[in-house]
Amino acid sequence: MIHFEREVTDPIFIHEMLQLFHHVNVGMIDEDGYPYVVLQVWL
Amino acid sequence: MLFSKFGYELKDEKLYVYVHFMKRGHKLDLMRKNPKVCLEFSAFHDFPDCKYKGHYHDYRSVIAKGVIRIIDANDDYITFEKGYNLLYTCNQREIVPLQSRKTIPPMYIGEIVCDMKNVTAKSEFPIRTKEDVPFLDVHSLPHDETPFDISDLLSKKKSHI
Repeated sequence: MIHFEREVTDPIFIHEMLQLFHHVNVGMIDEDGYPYVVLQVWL
Repeated sequence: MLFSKFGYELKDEKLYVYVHFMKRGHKLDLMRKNPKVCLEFSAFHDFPDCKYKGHYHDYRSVIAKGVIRIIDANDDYITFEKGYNLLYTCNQREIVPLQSRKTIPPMYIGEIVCDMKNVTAKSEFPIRTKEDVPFLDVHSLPHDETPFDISDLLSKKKSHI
């Protein structure tokens, strides 16, 4: 990561971070090779 | 180590994320063809009227690569129920136990398993403790133009080169 000072690697911090999020984008590979991204909302 | 909240948990050096979807459709076709998925979580905090330490915004993001397993309640009720419980408590609503439902919801649960080595995260503001993770309410803080002191992070990086 170019901005290494911004990288977060500690699982404890990542867990804390996950609690901030209300949705996740799930990316798959479509038949034509392009990404196919869908939204999963948790709220 | 075990964490459980919303539609995910961190356990045994792995991130488990649960999603749900209908039993037919393009998404399902793609998952069956190639179960490799990429997850993107992010939150953005914008404060254009309140510059803080040289920043007008802050963010947190997590990217994870993993493999999705399609869970049919008829084949794996226990995992289905686990995903159901995690998903259906995500907004702190009272859960309707799966067993008390007249029928199983007509959906699949997707269990996405990511090795932690395939999980990366990023924050604009430096994070050194758990307390640094939530966004700062910059509007309640004194005006501050002094950039963050990241000399310790720079030293740490140099020591690893």
